[in-house]
Amino acid sequence: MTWLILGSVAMGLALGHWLFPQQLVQYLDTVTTTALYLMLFGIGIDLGRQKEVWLKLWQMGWKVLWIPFLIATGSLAGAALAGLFLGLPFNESTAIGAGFGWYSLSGVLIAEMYNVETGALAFITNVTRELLTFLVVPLVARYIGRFSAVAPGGATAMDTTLPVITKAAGNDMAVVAFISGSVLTTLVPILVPFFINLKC
Amino acid sequence: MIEVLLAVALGVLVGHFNVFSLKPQVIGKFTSVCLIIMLLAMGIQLGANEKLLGDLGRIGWQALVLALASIVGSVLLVRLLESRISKQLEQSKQEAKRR
Repeated sequence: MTWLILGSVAMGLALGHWLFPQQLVQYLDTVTTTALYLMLFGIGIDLGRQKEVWLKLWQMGWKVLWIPFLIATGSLAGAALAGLFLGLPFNESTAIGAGFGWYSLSGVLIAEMYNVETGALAFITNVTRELLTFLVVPLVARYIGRFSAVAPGGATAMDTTLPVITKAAGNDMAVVAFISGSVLTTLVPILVPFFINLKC
Repeated sequence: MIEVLLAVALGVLVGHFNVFSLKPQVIGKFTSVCLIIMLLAMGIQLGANEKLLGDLGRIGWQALVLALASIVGSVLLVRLLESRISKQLEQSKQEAKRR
């Protein structure tokens, strides 16, 4: 899936640069808006069907929700501070941070709802977050803490980065990482539109 | 904004009550196709934007700073409460056993 995603963007880049006729760009908008709502609907169906998460949440107790809450707050605060340093508006930096590593969705959401430059930045930032997660999770698990090792992955802790988390932090972290990743995954389609539309 | 949330919420309801009784793979394929269309379109818009292509170096640097800051922020906050979380989860596990 990763290669398919990166390949699609690369192919789009090449098409747009060399082939795609300018007159067709206006039709592109209609197509992407339709695709956006259909995709969000599909993502919703997937989220609504995940009863396994609720079951595990019930078994672990609600206190486990502190972890995704802290990860979300920390990601947003970190991105906001970085945005201040880079001279980005608050709504852009926080919306990018609210991708929590889910680069495909945060990138296309922002490109569609706001502008394509910020969408590209969100895409690359969240790809980088996923790549960095693979590098830092073993270090965080060893020197900082086992629960902290769930944090870098953000939303990806439920799928792509789950193996590296359990390997570094222990098998009993698998359920925590899965719940945290699922909650953050659910928050992405809610928080990214919320923050990108903030006016200040 | 409202439309986006409505689309997700409608999906959640449909998924929760299994209205269409579709296989998970079918939905997965469906969202993947939509996603690829949008990624292609995003790529096309990027590729047609000369100014942006020239800016990729700056964007890469900004992305690295943003990604690192998000990771550091989230790790710091979880670290602050790590011992408390671990204790609380231990407690609720034992309570669950007693029940």
